[in-house]
Amino acid sequence: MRTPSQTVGPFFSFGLCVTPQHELPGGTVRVAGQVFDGEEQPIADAMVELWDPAAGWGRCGTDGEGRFAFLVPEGVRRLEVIVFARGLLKPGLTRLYLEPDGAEDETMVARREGDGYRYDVHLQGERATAFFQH
Amino acid sequence: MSEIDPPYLYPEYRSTVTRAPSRVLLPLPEEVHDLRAPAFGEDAVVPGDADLTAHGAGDPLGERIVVTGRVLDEDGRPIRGALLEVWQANAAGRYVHEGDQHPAPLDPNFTGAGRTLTDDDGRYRFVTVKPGAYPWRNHPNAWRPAHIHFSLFGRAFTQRLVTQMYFPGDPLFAHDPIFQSVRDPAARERLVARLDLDETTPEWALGYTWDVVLRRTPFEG
Repeated sequence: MRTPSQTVGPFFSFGLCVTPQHELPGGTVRVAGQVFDGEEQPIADAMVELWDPAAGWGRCGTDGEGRFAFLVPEGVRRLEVIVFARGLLKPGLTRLYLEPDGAEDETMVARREGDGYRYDVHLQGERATAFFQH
Repeated sequence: MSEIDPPYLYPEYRSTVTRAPSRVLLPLPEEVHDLRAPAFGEDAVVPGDADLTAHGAGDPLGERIVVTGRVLDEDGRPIRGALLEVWQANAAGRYVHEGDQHPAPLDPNFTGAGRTLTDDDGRYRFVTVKPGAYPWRNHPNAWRPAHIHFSLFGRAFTQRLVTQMYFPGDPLFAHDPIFQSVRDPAARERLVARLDLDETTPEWALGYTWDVVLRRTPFEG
Protein backbone atom coordinates (compact mmCIF):
# COMPACT_ATOMS: atom_id res chain seq x y z
CA MET A 1 0.00 0.00 0.00
CA ARG A 2 1.33 3.42 -0.87
CA THR A 3 1.97 6.19 1.64
CA PRO A 4 -0.93 8.66 2.01
CA SER A 5 -0.68 12.38 1.42
CA GLN A 6 -0.76 14.91 4.26
CA THR A 7 -1.01 18.68 4.13
CA VAL A 8 2.13 20.73 3.60
CA GLY A 9 0.97 22.81 6.61
CA PRO A 10 1.65 26.49 7.21
CA PHE A 11 5.38 26.40 8.02
CA PHE A 12 7.01 24.81 4.95
CA SER A 13 8.85 27.82 3.57
CA PHE A 14 12.05 27.34 5.59
CA GLY A 15 12.20 23.78 4.29
CA LEU A 16 11.03 24.08 0.70
CA CYS A 17 11.48 27.69 -0.42
CA VAL A 18 14.93 28.68 0.86
CA THR A 19 16.57 29.10 -2.52
CA PRO A 20 14.67 30.79 -5.37
CA GLN A 21 13.31 28.16 -7.74
CA HIS A 22 10.76 30.22 -9.63
CA GLU A 23 12.84 30.47 -12.79
CA LEU A 24 12.54 27.56 -15.19
CA PRO A 25 15.69 26.92 -17.25
CA GLY A 26 15.90 29.67 -19.86
CA GLY A 27 12.87 31.39 -18.39
CA THR A 28 12.13 34.92 -19.67
CA VAL A 29 8.34 35.16 -19.75
CA ARG A 30 6.74 36.25 -16.49
CA VAL A 31 3.68 34.32 -15.28
CA ALA A 32 2.30 35.74 -12.05
CA GLY A 33 -0.85 35.29 -10.03
CA GLN A 34 -2.46 34.73 -6.69
CA VAL A 35 -3.99 31.79 -4.86
CA PHE A 36 -7.40 32.41 -3.24
CA ASP A 37 -9.60 30.47 -0.83
CA GLY A 38 -13.38 30.09 -0.84
CA GLU A 39 -13.85 33.47 0.83
CA GLU A 40 -11.80 35.14 -1.91
CA GLN A 41 -9.01 35.71 0.60
CA PRO A 42 -5.46 35.35 -0.69
CA ILE A 43 -3.64 32.31 0.68
CA ALA A 44 -0.29 33.24 2.18
CA ASP A 45 0.76 29.66 2.89
CA ALA A 46 0.47 28.05 -0.53
CA MET A 47 3.13 26.76 -2.88
CA VAL A 48 2.84 26.36 -6.64
CA GLU A 49 4.96 24.01 -8.75
CA LEU A 50 5.16 24.07 -12.54
CA TRP A 51 6.24 21.00 -14.50
CA ASP A 52 6.90 20.39 -18.16
CA PRO A 53 8.73 17.56 -19.94
CA ALA A 54 10.71 20.05 -22.02
CA ALA A 55 10.75 23.27 -20.02
CA GLY A 56 11.63 21.67 -16.69
CA TRP A 57 10.43 22.40 -13.19
CA GLY A 58 10.02 25.34 -10.86
CA ARG A 59 8.29 26.26 -7.66
CA CYS A 60 7.28 29.35 -5.72
CA GLY A 61 5.76 29.86 -2.29
CA THR A 62 3.09 32.57 -2.03
CA ASP A 63 3.76 35.82 -0.18
CA GLY A 64 1.51 37.62 2.31
CA GLU A 65 -0.90 38.56 -0.49
CA GLY A 66 -1.02 35.07 -1.92
CA ARG A 67 1.18 36.08 -4.84
CA PHE A 68 3.55 33.89 -6.81
CA ALA A 69 5.56 34.55 -9.97
CA PHE A 70 7.51 32.39 -12.40
CA LEU A 71 9.77 32.95 -15.36
CA VAL A 72 9.04 30.38 -18.05
CA PRO A 73 10.81 29.89 -21.38
CA GLU A 74 9.40 31.58 -24.44
CA GLY A 75 7.31 29.32 -26.64
CA VAL A 76 5.91 27.17 -23.85
CA ARG A 77 2.22 26.51 -24.51
CA ARG A 78 1.24 24.53 -21.47
CA LEU A 79 2.56 23.55 -18.05
CA GLU A 80 1.37 21.12 -15.40
CA VAL A 81 0.54 22.83 -12.10
CA ILE A 82 0.60 21.43 -8.57
CA VAL A 83 -0.85 23.55 -5.76
CA PHE A 84 0.04 22.84 -2.13
CA ALA A 85 -1.32 24.73 0.88
CA ARG A 86 -2.30 24.48 4.48
CA GLY A 87 -5.78 23.03 4.34
CA LEU A 88 -5.08 20.97 1.22
CA LEU A 89 -4.76 17.41 2.48
CA LYS A 90 -3.54 16.46 -0.96
CA PRO A 91 -2.28 18.81 -3.65
CA GLY A 92 -4.45 20.28 -6.37
CA LEU A 93 -3.41 19.27 -9.89
CA THR A 94 -4.33 21.54 -12.75
CA ARG A 95 -2.80 23.08 -15.88
CA LEU A 96 -1.60 26.43 -17.06
CA TYR A 97 -2.24 27.28 -20.70
CA LEU A 98 -0.52 30.30 -22.20
CA GLU A 99 -2.66 29.83 -25.32
CA PRO A 100 -6.29 28.74 -24.98
CA ASP A 101 -6.12 25.99 -27.63
CA GLY A 102 -6.74 22.59 -26.13
CA ALA A 103 -7.44 23.78 -22.61
CA GLU A 104 -9.63 21.38 -20.61
CA ASP A 105 -11.22 24.33 -18.83
CA GLU A 106 -11.16 28.10 -19.23
CA THR A 107 -9.86 28.55 -15.67
CA MET A 108 -6.59 26.98 -16.84
CA VAL A 109 -5.94 29.71 -19.39
CA ALA A 110 -3.62 32.56 -18.39
CA ARG A 111 -4.41 36.00 -19.70
CA ARG A 112 -2.02 38.56 -21.10
CA GLU A 113 -0.92 41.22 -18.65
CA GLY A 114 1.79 43.69 -19.60
CA ASP A 115 4.77 41.79 -20.98
CA GLY A 116 3.72 38.59 -19.28
CA TYR A 117 0.73 36.59 -18.12
CA ARG A 118 -1.68 36.55 -15.21
CA TYR A 119 -2.80 33.19 -13.81
CA ASP A 120 -4.86 32.98 -10.62
CA VAL A 121 -5.87 29.89 -8.70
CA HIS A 122 -9.24 29.89 -6.92
CA LEU A 123 -9.75 26.83 -4.76
CA GLN A 124 -13.49 27.51 -4.44
CA GLY A 125 -16.17 30.01 -5.44
CA GLU A 126 -17.64 31.33 -8.68
CA ARG A 127 -14.26 31.44 -10.37
CA ALA A 128 -13.10 28.11 -8.92
CA THR A 129 -10.22 26.51 -10.77
CA ALA A 130 -10.83 23.12 -12.37
CA PHE A 131 -8.57 20.45 -10.84
CA PHE A 132 -7.82 16.92 -11.96
CA GLN A 133 -8.60 13.72 -10.15
CA HIS A 134 -5.56 11.89 -8.82
CA MET B 1 -6.97 5.30 -4.62
CA SER B 2 -9.20 7.77 -2.82
CA GLU B 3 -9.35 5.53 0.27
CA ILE B 4 -5.59 5.87 0.75
CA ASP B 5 -5.29 9.63 0.47
CA PRO B 6 -7.42 11.87 2.67
CA PRO B 7 -10.43 13.60 1.09
CA TYR B 8 -10.03 17.25 0.18
CA LEU B 9 -12.91 18.20 2.45
CA TYR B 10 -12.52 16.96 6.02
CA PRO B 11 -14.35 19.52 8.18
CA GLU B 12 -12.71 18.30 11.40
CA TYR B 13 -9.59 19.90 9.91
CA ARG B 14 -11.07 23.36 9.71
CA SER B 15 -8.84 24.83 7.01
CA THR B 16 -10.25 22.36 4.48
CA VAL B 17 -13.67 24.04 4.63
CA THR B 18 -12.59 27.10 2.64
CA ARG B 19 -9.74 25.44 0.77
CA ALA B 20 -10.95 22.06 -0.48
CA PRO B 21 -11.37 22.33 -4.28
CA SER B 22 -15.10 22.77 -4.79
CA ARG B 23 -15.56 21.88 -8.45
CA VAL B 24 -16.09 18.39 -9.75
CA LEU B 25 -12.65 16.97 -10.52
CA LEU B 26 -11.77 16.35 -14.16
CA PRO B 27 -10.14 13.11 -15.30
CA LEU B 28 -6.35 13.34 -15.26
CA PRO B 29 -5.15 13.61 -18.88
CA GLU B 30 -3.49 10.39 -20.08
CA GLU B 31 -0.18 11.97 -21.00
CA VAL B 32 0.30 13.30 -17.47
CA HIS B 33 0.97 9.74 -16.29
CA ASP B 34 4.10 9.56 -18.43
CA LEU B 35 5.50 12.89 -17.32
CA ARG B 36 8.89 12.46 -15.72
CA ALA B 37 10.02 14.13 -12.55
CA PRO B 38 12.89 16.59 -12.73
CA ALA B 39 16.31 14.95 -12.44
CA PHE B 40 17.85 16.19 -9.25
CA GLY B 41 21.56 15.68 -9.64
CA GLU B 42 23.92 15.12 -6.75
CA ASP B 43 24.74 18.82 -6.84
CA ALA B 44 21.20 19.54 -5.58
CA VAL B 45 22.23 18.39 -2.13
CA VAL B 46 25.24 19.47 -0.10
CA PRO B 47 26.92 16.89 2.14
CA GLY B 48 25.71 17.58 5.66
CA ASP B 49 22.22 18.59 4.53
CA ALA B 50 20.92 15.30 5.97
CA ASP B 51 22.30 15.94 9.46
CA LEU B 52 19.92 18.47 11.02
CA THR B 53 21.89 18.40 14.27
CA ALA B 54 24.99 19.80 12.54
CA HIS B 55 23.55 23.04 11.14
CA GLY B 56 24.29 25.24 14.16
CA ALA B 57 27.39 26.20 16.10
CA GLY B 58 26.62 23.58 18.74
CA ASP B 59 24.38 20.60 19.38
CA PRO B 60 20.63 21.25 19.44
CA LEU B 61 18.65 20.39 22.55
CA GLY B 62 16.40 17.36 22.53
CA GLU B 63 16.47 13.67 21.87
CA ARG B 64 18.87 12.90 19.00
CA ILE B 65 17.38 10.39 16.55
CA VAL B 66 18.16 8.70 13.26
CA VAL B 67 15.31 8.53 10.72
CA THR B 68 16.00 6.16 7.87
CA GLY B 69 14.18 4.00 5.35
CA ARG B 70 13.64 3.31 1.68
CA VAL B 71 11.65 5.02 -1.03
CA LEU B 72 9.86 2.41 -3.13
CA ASP B 73 7.13 2.34 -5.73
CA GLU B 74 3.97 0.26 -5.39
CA ASP B 75 5.69 -2.62 -7.18
CA GLY B 76 8.38 -2.63 -4.51
CA ARG B 77 11.04 -1.18 -6.78
CA PRO B 78 13.51 1.14 -5.08
CA ILE B 79 13.54 4.73 -6.33
CA ARG B 80 17.10 5.93 -6.76
CA GLY B 81 18.17 9.53 -6.64
CA ALA B 82 14.82 10.65 -5.20
CA LEU B 83 15.00 14.07 -3.57
CA LEU B 84 13.66 14.14 -0.01
CA GLU B 85 13.16 17.42 1.78
CA VAL B 86 12.18 17.49 5.45
CA TRP B 87 11.17 20.20 7.87
CA GLN B 88 10.06 20.01 11.48
CA ALA B 89 9.60 21.74 14.83
CA ASN B 90 12.40 21.63 17.37
CA ALA B 91 12.34 19.49 20.50
CA ALA B 92 10.20 22.10 22.26
CA GLY B 93 7.56 22.01 19.53
CA ARG B 94 8.51 25.33 17.88
CA TYR B 95 9.21 26.01 14.20
CA VAL B 96 11.72 28.65 13.13
CA HIS B 97 8.96 30.00 10.86
CA GLU B 98 7.96 33.57 11.78
CA GLY B 99 4.29 32.61 11.71
CA ASP B 100 4.73 30.16 14.58
CA GLN B 101 3.46 31.94 17.70
CA HIS B 102 3.72 28.99 20.10
CA PRO B 103 5.43 30.35 23.25
CA ALA B 104 8.08 27.63 23.33
CA PRO B 105 11.77 28.45 22.92
CA LEU B 106 13.59 28.55 19.62
CA ASP B 107 16.87 26.67 19.61
CA PRO B 108 19.80 28.68 18.19
CA ASN B 109 21.40 25.39 17.15
CA PHE B 110 18.42 23.98 15.28
CA THR B 111 16.67 25.10 12.11
CA GLY B 112 14.84 21.88 11.39
CA ALA B 113 15.24 21.66 7.61
CA GLY B 114 17.16 18.99 5.71
CA ARG B 115 17.54 17.39 2.28
CA THR B 116 18.96 14.22 0.87
CA LEU B 117 18.92 11.96 -2.19
CA THR B 118 18.16 8.23 -2.01
CA ASP B 119 20.99 5.83 -2.85
CA ASP B 120 20.91 2.98 -5.40
CA ASP B 121 18.84 0.92 -2.99
CA GLY B 122 16.30 3.74 -2.52
CA ARG B 123 17.64 4.34 0.98
CA TYR B 124 17.78 7.66 2.84
CA ARG B 125 19.03 8.59 6.30
CA PHE B 126 18.56 11.74 8.40
CA VAL B 127 20.00 12.62 11.78
CA THR B 128 17.82 15.04 13.74
CA VAL B 129 16.13 15.57 17.10
CA LYS B 130 12.67 14.30 17.93
CA PRO B 131 10.22 17.17 17.35
CA GLY B 132 7.88 18.18 20.16
CA ALA B 133 4.10 18.19 20.05
CA TYR B 134 2.61 21.67 19.70
CA PRO B 135 -0.75 23.43 19.97
CA TRP B 136 -2.65 24.78 16.98
CA ARG B 137 -5.91 26.63 16.65
CA ASN B 138 -8.00 24.12 14.79
CA HIS B 139 -10.33 23.58 17.76
CA PRO B 140 -10.13 24.28 21.51
CA ASN B 141 -7.12 22.57 23.08
CA ALA B 142 -5.89 21.17 19.77
CA TRP B 143 -2.39 19.63 19.72
CA ARG B 144 -0.48 18.08 16.84
CA PRO B 145 1.28 14.78 17.49
CA ALA B 146 5.04 14.95 16.93
CA HIS B 147 5.77 14.72 13.21
CA ILE B 148 8.36 15.40 10.53
CA HIS B 149 7.17 16.85 7.20
CA PHE B 150 8.46 15.05 4.11
CA SER B 151 8.44 16.20 0.49
CA LEU B 152 9.43 13.60 -2.11
CA PHE B 153 10.03 13.52 -5.82
CA GLY B 154 9.90 10.06 -7.36
CA ARG B 155 10.63 9.39 -11.03
CA ALA B 156 7.26 10.49 -12.36
CA PHE B 157 4.98 13.48 -11.89
CA THR B 158 2.33 11.17 -10.42
CA GLN B 159 4.78 10.06 -7.72
CA ARG B 160 5.12 13.53 -6.22
CA LEU B 161 4.26 13.28 -2.51
CA VAL B 162 4.11 15.65 0.44
CA THR B 163 3.28 13.94 3.69
CA GLN B 164 4.10 13.71 7.40
CA MET B 165 5.91 11.02 9.39
CA TYR B 166 4.71 10.28 12.91
CA PHE B 167 6.24 8.42 15.85
CA PRO B 168 4.85 5.11 17.11
CA GLY B 169 2.29 5.02 19.89
CA ASP B 170 1.64 8.75 20.07
CA PRO B 171 -1.38 9.31 22.38
CA LEU B 172 -2.36 12.36 20.30
CA PHE B 173 -3.20 10.28 17.20
CA ALA B 174 -6.82 9.84 18.29
CA HIS B 175 -7.24 13.60 18.68
CA ASP B 176 -5.51 14.83 15.51
CA PRO B 177 -7.80 15.51 12.54
CA ILE B 178 -4.88 15.72 10.10
CA PHE B 179 -3.71 12.21 10.98
CA GLN B 180 -7.32 10.99 11.15
CA SER B 181 -8.12 12.51 7.75
CA VAL B 182 -6.63 9.31 6.31
CA ARG B 183 -9.71 7.19 6.85
CA ASP B 184 -8.27 3.74 6.19
CA PRO B 185 -6.50 2.54 9.38
CA ALA B 186 -4.01 0.49 7.37
CA ALA B 187 -3.14 3.51 5.24
CA ARG B 188 -2.82 5.63 8.37
CA GLU B 189 -0.32 3.09 9.76
CA ARG B 190 1.83 3.87 6.72
CA LEU B 191 2.45 7.32 8.21
CA VAL B 192 3.96 5.93 11.41
CA ALA B 193 7.66 5.08 11.70
CA ARG B 194 8.77 2.14 13.82
CA LEU B 195 11.40 2.15 16.50
CA ASP B 196 14.29 0.15 15.05
CA LEU B 197 17.04 -1.09 17.32
CA ASP B 198 19.08 -2.11 14.26
CA GLU B 199 19.24 1.54 13.26
CA THR B 200 19.84 2.68 16.82
CA THR B 201 23.41 3.66 17.60
CA PRO B 202 24.27 2.52 21.13
CA GLU B 203 25.12 5.34 23.51
CA TRP B 204 24.24 7.90 20.82
CA ALA B 205 20.80 7.95 19.15
CA LEU B 206 17.57 5.98 18.81
CA GLY B 207 16.75 4.84 15.30
CA TYR B 208 13.41 5.00 13.52
CA THR B 209 12.67 3.30 10.22
CA TRP B 210 10.08 4.67 7.83
CA ASP B 211 9.65 3.42 4.26
CA VAL B 212 7.77 5.60 1.80
CA VAL B 213 5.79 3.96 -0.97
CA LEU B 214 4.99 6.07 -4.03
CA ARG B 215 2.57 5.28 -6.85
CA ARG B 216 3.50 2.79 -9.55
CA THR B 217 6.33 3.92 -11.84
CA PRO B 218 4.50 4.43 -15.14
CA PHE B 219 7.45 3.78 -17.45
CA GLU B 220 10.54 1.58 -17.78
CA GLY B 221 14.15 2.69 -17.79
